[in-house]
Amino acid sequence: MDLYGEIILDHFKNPRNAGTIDDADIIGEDLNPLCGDKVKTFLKLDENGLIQRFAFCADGCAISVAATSIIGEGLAGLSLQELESLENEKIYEMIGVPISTGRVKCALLGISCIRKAIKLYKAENAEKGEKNKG
Amino acid sequence: MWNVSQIKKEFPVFEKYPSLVFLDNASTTQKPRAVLKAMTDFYENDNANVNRGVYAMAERADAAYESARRSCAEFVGAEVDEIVFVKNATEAANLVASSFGEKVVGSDDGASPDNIVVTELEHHSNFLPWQELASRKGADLRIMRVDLKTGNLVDGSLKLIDEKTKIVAVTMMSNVLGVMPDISGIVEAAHAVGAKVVCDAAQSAAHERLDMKKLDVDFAFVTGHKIFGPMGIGFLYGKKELLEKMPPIMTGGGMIKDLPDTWLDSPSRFEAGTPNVAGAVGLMAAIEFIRNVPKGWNVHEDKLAKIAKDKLSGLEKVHVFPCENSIVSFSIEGVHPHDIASILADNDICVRAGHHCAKPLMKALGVNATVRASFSIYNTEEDVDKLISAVKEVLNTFE
Repeated sequence: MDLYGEIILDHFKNPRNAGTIDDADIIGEDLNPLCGDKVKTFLKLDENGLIQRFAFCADGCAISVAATSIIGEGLAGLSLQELESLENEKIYEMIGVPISTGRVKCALLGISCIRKAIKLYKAENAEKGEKNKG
Repeated sequence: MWNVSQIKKEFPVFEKYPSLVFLDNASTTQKPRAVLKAMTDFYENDNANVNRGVYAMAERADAAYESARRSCAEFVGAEVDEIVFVKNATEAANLVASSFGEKVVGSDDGASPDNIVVTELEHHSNFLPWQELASRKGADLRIMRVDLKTGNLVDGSLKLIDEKTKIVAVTMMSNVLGVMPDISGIVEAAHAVGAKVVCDAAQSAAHERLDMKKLDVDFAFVTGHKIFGPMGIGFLYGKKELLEKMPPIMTGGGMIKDLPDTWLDSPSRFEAGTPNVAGAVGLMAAIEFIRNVPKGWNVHEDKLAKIAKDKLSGLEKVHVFPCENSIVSFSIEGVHPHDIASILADNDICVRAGHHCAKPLMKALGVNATVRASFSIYNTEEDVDKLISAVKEVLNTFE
């Protein structure tokens, strides 16, 4: 299947959820060391801790932008744990085109950024919890 | 007349992949049969550790290793004991920085600090070791800038070299733009103030004959895999009088004369541990191969790069960076270099997209990455045509 099929090009040219969220709960930032591409992700949680909104801004290749856009479309309503447990295989399935090993970092740039941000957010919350206990 | 089809026959990879268009030669070159055979022969017939054995095979291994050193010396017009085997260019630069650099670059005494001069064209291998040395020693790191019109160093760069300069590190040929700075001018300015010149010859060794005595640089390094040799072997050239005074940066087997710390002479002093003998043997075969390639091989590469450059420049939305010699770096408006490279890959065309381990230059050019097509002796005009037609496919895809 063509890597640069209609869907990838459409998401690249018109990325869904492009932008920022001013009152985001979880903000992440990541860099692709191969090419210096940058991505910034924003998650807003609802009162139950489920993902309400997602946004991202990226300066990157078609694969990284389109993949983040496609993944982002399915995030609303997920819990952080559900999001964290999304396997890479599942991510590739969502993207829907074969990703060669050379482009894995591009395809996973957005989701890795989100995962790291959630990890940091949880660690900070746990620390706060400890302090409150103390 | 340059006979590409005959040259191509020497490289098994093109038998296996007849439609392969390999334009990533600045990254690494393909290997001729003679190199592969030399390495197999070594492991089949002469495999023994060097410097230790008295049996026939060990003696043959010793002889092979030292012949390889002689071959490297002849290749760059040096004496045999001026050649230190290393695993790659990065190791060579680090060896000079950590051994020689550590000794000669003084710390900031509060008055005016010593300085190290590098250029914006450098590959990280000849940039970061100097940046780190300067930082350890409180010395200044001065950077010769690139003229964005020509791709070469700006006029007046030599003014950065002054009496506090201890080392000038410069590439002989940029791995991104192919430009070749005026080494003799740099050597003259550096030597006038007593500074030493470290030259990155990783790219230039595949492009022209080197003569260390004529160049009069103090150190230079070559990596084998960019001149049709194996990966994991290269050599550092250093003037004998400098190498002799330098301390080792790695200690261990094969580098000591007597305990506790009487080191062997150079080059053994710098080659601790079991060396890459098969690699050295392969490198010797590569050098022999290169010496037998008919003259004018670089004219062939440069001609192809020039055709590619002209054709790419004629395409709308394609931007060609100021390149020279056998390298063409370009970008396409609105298309990321990695996407360009992926579509080229689908067409059996191997190029490199990224920062090419030259972030200072990327910054100067104002980009994160470029696409680089780099030509070698086995490339053809047909390869250029395929490149151009695949670039047109990129333009259509991202229209």
